[in-house]
Amino acid sequence: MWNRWIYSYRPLLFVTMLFVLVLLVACGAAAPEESAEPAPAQEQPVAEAEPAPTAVPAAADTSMEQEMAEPTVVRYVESQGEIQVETNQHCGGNRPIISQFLPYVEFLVEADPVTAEFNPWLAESWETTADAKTWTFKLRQGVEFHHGYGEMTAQDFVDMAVAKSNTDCQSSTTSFWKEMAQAEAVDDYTVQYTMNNASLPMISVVSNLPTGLELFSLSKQQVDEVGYDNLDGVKPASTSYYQFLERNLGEGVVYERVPFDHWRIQSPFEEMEIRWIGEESTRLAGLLAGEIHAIALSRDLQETAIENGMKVIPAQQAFSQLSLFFGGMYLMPGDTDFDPTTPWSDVRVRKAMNKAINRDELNEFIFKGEGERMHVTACCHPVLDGNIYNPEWDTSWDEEYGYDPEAAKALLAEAGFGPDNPIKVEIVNYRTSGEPESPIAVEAMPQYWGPVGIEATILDMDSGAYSKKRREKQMQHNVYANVFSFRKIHDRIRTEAPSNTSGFHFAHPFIEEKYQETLDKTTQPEIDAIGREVSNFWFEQHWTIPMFWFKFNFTVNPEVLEDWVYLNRGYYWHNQVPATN
Amino acid sequence: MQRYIIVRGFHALITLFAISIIIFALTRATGDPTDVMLPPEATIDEVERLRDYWRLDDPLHVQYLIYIGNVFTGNLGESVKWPGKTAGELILQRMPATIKLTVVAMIVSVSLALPLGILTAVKKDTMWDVGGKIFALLGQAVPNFWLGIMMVWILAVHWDLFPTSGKGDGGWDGIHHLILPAFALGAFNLAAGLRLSRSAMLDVLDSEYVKMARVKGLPEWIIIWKHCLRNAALIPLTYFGIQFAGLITGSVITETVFAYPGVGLLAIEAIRSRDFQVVQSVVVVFAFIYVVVALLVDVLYAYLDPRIRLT
Repeated sequence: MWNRWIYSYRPLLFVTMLFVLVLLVACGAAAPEESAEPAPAQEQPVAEAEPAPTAVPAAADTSMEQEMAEPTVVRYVESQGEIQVETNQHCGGNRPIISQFLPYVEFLVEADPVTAEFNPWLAESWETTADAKTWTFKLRQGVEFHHGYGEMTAQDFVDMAVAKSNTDCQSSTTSFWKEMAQAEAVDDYTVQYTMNNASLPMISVVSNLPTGLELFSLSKQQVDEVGYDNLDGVKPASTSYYQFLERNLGEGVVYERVPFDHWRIQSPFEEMEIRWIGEESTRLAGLLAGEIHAIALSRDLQETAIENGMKVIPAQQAFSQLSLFFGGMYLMPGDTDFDPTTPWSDVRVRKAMNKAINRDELNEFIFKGEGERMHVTACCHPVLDGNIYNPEWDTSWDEEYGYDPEAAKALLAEAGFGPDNPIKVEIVNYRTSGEPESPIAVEAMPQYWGPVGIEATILDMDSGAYSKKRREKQMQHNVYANVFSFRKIHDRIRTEAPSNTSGFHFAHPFIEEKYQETLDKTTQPEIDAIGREVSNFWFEQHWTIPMFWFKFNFTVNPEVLEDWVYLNRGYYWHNQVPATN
Repeated sequence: MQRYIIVRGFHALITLFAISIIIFALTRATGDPTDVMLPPEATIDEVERLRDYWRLDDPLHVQYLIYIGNVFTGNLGESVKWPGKTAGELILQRMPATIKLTVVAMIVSVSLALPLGILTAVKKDTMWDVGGKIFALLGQAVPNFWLGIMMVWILAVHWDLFPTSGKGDGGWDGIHHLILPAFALGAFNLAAGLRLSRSAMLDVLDSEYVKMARVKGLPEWIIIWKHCLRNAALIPLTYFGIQFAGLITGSVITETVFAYPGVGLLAIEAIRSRDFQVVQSVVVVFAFIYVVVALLVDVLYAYLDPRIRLT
């Protein structure tokens, strides 16, 4: 009997099953990630920024320091899509790569996450000369670099600015810094930048607003010792409350809590990890399985996460704008790229295309009703741009932009378009990380424009091809969506000025004229006055199809990040580092 | 035989050369890497600086000659996405993970496909057989990315048996992380191998010498184990051998779903960043693996069957 069994097919089956069972049991018994003995949170009084005389008004509270509670995990893990460049070299890319630096670096100036007012950070105060060319920053004393590199001094920020001004540096702010005439350490704690021209954007550029994000604390001593090109082989020394621990190429970066009392805050987690996971469904699975504690997730999948006990935490302020742009608006005199047959070179057509869209419906569909009315693309949030915002826009909103298909048809007819002469438009559809809303808005447009007699088709392309097409002024007869991060008005005028823009959204002589006027202005009220003129012009010209201001949000495991405050200022991963659990 | 090997080797070199040209052209045809490396608001000046840095303005044939010259000196080019790393270093760094995954997927496929195939053949027209056939059908029909996501959802999220992604820290943790991707990667081969084993076993069971063995009164277990198994295993084992290279290259999708950091995921990351040096190097390495395996199979067949050398 035994012999028959042993020589039948059954042992094979038995061994196979046993093999599978052993694997299942062995793997199911893996140790949980949670700490058996959670490290005690090191409660520390919140370090307050000392009031200091500043050249700009400072907001009341930096909002960066938050109350800490007992951590539930030793290592806090968050996940985002793949990053463009994996490196410790700050010249190795541009702003989109900043998320890997954010946990361990600090900036001179902090932008308030609600008002975007500038607050002291590593710089306790700052001042400028009357011509706005020379900027002096008084640095905080006693700020320690990681890994034993000593105290931060003015020389560290001199070297950083010089590095950024080098044209070999591919940073986004290099075009600003190359206008620097001199960087000088006046004393150990005073750094002075002298520019060739009036440079009112200076504070934005040295801050953590999306306009800046590139001039951060990095030990000059370390860079001198190892050489800039070898930074990927060492643990870069900066000053935040996490320090760099290790990089696993293609997987992510691990940071650890600094081993000393940080001047600002002590992290509740011993370690922090950023994991690159390109597939959204895999990130969600990691979150639900408890392996990851915070992820960026499209709003569609957020519902699944919430049903499974997760929590969506929005940013404190709507720092992002979703808009559709009219392609081919190369309106500078003599510009041969301008095609006069482009239907929306007529403002009535632009107005009609705006009025054909039901924004309330779209808001409900795309943002679950959380989008805020945006009057003018590129500027003028009622809070963030309080000096520029014009309340009259709201009064005339229904007339100028409100949903009214019949009025849209009448405007098109007035402009010479109708059933016999329909407008044909290709809507460029591309996908880029951090902008999941754009393709949804694009796909909705034909449904609104079709009934008023506009034949819209969707043209799919990758984000790189789209960028190239736009940069090379090949957007004639195209409409495209884009998400703007908040920038101060002088930055927006600069980046939209035909002589300086790379986007060519609406390259109009009026914007160029106003940009030229800003160049010799040395005070913010003067810039604001120009800003009001430009923004009124944009509103009246229907230069875009403004959709919504919206807040980025973060999907988190509430057992780990119950009371966390998401301090986003315009990029998806901007200031994601939790200071509380 | 020697001449045959030389001719085949020459064919392999021509194939690799042709592949290198095709890949070089294709990676450039998809567009300019600076378009994805820089944000949309980057100025033309910034684009130009980056293009200069990466010598993208050199004529294509110059870029190709530089590339091919570097390949012969073992330098597959410097990565855009991973500054300071060459494509060769990155592939070497990631290859062990992919080989580990492939080997485990192969072990899973073979260790399940052979016994199940034999079982379904021996138990022909029973519930075992029906179940086996349904399993084989599904295994070949279900795309492995979908299977991977379902396995993650059920076995990792809901049952908490496995981790959802990554490769773990080595040791048991590493094996723990390997199992789901290995099953997902090996599922197709498991199903195909099961079908091949079953049909091969059925053929053998129907052969004259097996009938003779039965007539002689040999016990069934001896017939299966001693007379059938070895002959029936030849076809599926040959199939698995050939498929090994296919599994390595097929790991691209599985590694992406499971965020498993092997060469497949490296290729996807490089494609998304238009890191053309890495993309073309990965493809050339994959092609090299295929060509070498094909060459070895050719030589082996020629060794086993002298008639082939004459064709």
